[in-house]
Amino acid sequence: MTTARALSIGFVGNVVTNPFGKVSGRLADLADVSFEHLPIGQIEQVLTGPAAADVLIVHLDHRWYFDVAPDKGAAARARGLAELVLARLAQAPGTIILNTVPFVPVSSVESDLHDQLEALARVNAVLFGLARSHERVSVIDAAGALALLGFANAFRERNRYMYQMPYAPAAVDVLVERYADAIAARLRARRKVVVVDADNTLWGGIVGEDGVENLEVDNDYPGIVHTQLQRQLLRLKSLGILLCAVTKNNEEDFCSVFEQRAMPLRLDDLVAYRSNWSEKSENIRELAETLNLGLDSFIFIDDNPFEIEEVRARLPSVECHLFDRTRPEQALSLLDGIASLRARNVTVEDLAKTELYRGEAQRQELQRSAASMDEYLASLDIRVHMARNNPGSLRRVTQLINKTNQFNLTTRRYTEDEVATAMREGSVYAARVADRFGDMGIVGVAVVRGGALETFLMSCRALGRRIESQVLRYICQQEADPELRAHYRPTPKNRMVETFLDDNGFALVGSGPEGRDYRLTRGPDDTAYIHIIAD
Amino acid sequence: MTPPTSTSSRTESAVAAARATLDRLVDTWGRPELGALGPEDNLFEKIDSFAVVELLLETESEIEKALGRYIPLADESILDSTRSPLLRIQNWFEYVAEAVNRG
Repeated sequence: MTTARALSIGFVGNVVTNPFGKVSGRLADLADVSFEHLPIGQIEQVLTGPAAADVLIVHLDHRWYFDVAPDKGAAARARGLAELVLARLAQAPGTIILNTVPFVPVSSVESDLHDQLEALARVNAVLFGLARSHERVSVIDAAGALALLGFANAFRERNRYMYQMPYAPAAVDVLVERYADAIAARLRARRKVVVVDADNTLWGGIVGEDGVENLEVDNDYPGIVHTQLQRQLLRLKSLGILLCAVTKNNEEDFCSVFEQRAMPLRLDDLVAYRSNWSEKSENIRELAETLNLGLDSFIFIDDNPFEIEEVRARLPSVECHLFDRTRPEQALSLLDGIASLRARNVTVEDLAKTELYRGEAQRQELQRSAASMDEYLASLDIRVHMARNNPGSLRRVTQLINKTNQFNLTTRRYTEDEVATAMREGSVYAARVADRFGDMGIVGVAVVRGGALETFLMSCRALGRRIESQVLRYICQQEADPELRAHYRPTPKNRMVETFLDDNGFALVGSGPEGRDYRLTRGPDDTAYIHIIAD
Repeated sequence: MTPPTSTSSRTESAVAAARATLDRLVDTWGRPELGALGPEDNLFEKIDSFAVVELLLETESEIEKALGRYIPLADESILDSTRSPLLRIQNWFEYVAEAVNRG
């Protein structure tokens, strides 16, 4: 049971925004959306006025910036818009979504055309700068989206000037999709792992039959299709996605391709792989256990429809995609089209993820060799740095709140604004964990407000070391004045915390369909080998 | 699908496209009472100007799909409260058919 959050969207623009209302339908599985179309053309009034919305979409075509050709004044208009946006951000909560300028300059004079193109780029640069420096600003690439459709098919010039509606319905649909993606990226958890097949996916051919030297993976067609896929996977890795492989091959055959062929992807770019003759669903399940991640964090890519169906049937929460090497135009746009890989931005933790998960694999190795669990845990030299109400952690804390499903007492989601409010009204704790194998970054969050533990969650990668109890113990020590209440709200995914409060010195005081209420009694026991450091 | 070539078949296609678009938008707008309007009824006074623009755009798109080319329907009369073809639904269908036959 996941309670859909309410989300209000306001639209304003120098065009009729009513057709953009379709964006609510695209977000129906993520939120209960209400929307309002604010008066057309009233950009300044809306940005400086009292209109409240969780998301304010400001759609501007080129006429906001210039009349017939982008010029120096266009960038000045963009800076003026940026100032209005900044002023609104300072006084009102919510996200603002802007758009690149969908316009193709033309001129009978080449140098003038170049000047126009530069002026247009300067306008967009102002918008990008705004989004880069303010988490609550997004910029959809309207120009790019409509270019893909074809500007001739996208624009209706007569309607632009007669009715202030320059877009054909197909263009509206494309823009609606971009708006929905931008909003969804802020609402839903991003999938973390791409598991890719090897034969006829990472390379063309079957290594066990064709031999390493005959595999197609080079800079000529069709090998280039696989080379490009590998480059795209590496790009995803650079954007914080973990790469794994599963393949029905002898392990030495699989590894020999990486040893003997010059390819963009190296074996150590993969966080983990399984090369054996087991079902792929079994291998993916094992990878999930090894990485301590839920199966709903996984995306699986294979060229074989049978394998896709096998995984889809047995692991329905894994998102599966067919890689059809015979249709490169589709195969090479596959990764870019996966909406669940999109994100508003990438945190330092995301980028360091490969090393974090590699560290986790090393911990598992140590655990296997240790005489006892206690000896293993003590040998890790675990340090937990607790920061309270640190604005610098706002982005990561919000990200963690919105993507943690399993070890999460209430699964309550917050926007960045709401986390900032909680910091002003109570305590937001961020727990950063380090041990001898590295720094895991911020992996735990607690929100305490009005004497209640409103949120308590821990990333799965930090579990199994009793860190969660020690963090809770610290919070109880800081916040139990005069009492601390807590709540467990069950969801289909958080069964692992069902008895967490019972097991850690909280007494049940009531229960109902929305979960169970507790109050602090003695609190969690001390775990001596975990050192808490108050930052 | 081969685009219709004779005037009568183009007229039929245009009217069918206009009807289908209106029916679809009645659903989209969540205004089922508009579905009960007859050919003599006044649509103009029952929808706002933004809905008129949406109807126009969507009808243009539907006709483009049916005929294989873009035919602009916009005209200064559409939003004119004294001259709009939407003052009588049948007039709207005829207006669309005329625009299509004019090419």
